[in-house]
Amino acid sequence: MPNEGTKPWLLTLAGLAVPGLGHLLQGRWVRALILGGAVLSLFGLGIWLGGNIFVISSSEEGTSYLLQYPPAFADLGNGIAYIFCAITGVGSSPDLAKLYTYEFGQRFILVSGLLNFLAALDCFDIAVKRKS
Amino acid sequence: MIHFGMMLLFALVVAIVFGLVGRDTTGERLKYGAKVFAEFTAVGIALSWILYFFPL
Repeated sequence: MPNEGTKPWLLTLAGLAVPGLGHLLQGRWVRALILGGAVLSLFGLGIWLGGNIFVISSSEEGTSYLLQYPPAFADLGNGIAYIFCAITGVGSSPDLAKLYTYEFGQRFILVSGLLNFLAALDCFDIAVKRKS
Repeated sequence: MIHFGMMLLFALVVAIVFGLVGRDTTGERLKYGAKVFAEFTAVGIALSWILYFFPL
């Protein structure tokens, strides 16, 4: 059911929070299913492979903690899934780095967040009728 | 083998999202998605052969 009255920024925020939700609220369920499925499966696979979640912590010496901002921003694109993992500690164990698949997992999580930013922008463009 | 499989999976998911977001018609999306997938795979293989000769 297309929802024409919803404000574009609300749809974008919904898409950022839950991958695919913005498109779903626009009534574009096929697009929502494909984009949401792609982002969430990449994120889930990243966690399963042992990728770590970047969170900002000032416990590092000097200004080296600033290096955590770009990957944490990319991870934040996963929305609620990222926040859930950051709170519960999933993907935060230092032992994960011993895993053979650690690097794959980390990249998968980063890229799924960035892809969701693209998906949210797409949702916004559709809502303001820049795209069909 | 797992490296290659993961790279293909990664390229597939990125190609799906890029294709869907970057083009407007179904035909264009399929063509663009296939192009992105092929490019990711080709560049991945080329880089892996280049790095093969560097003892890291």
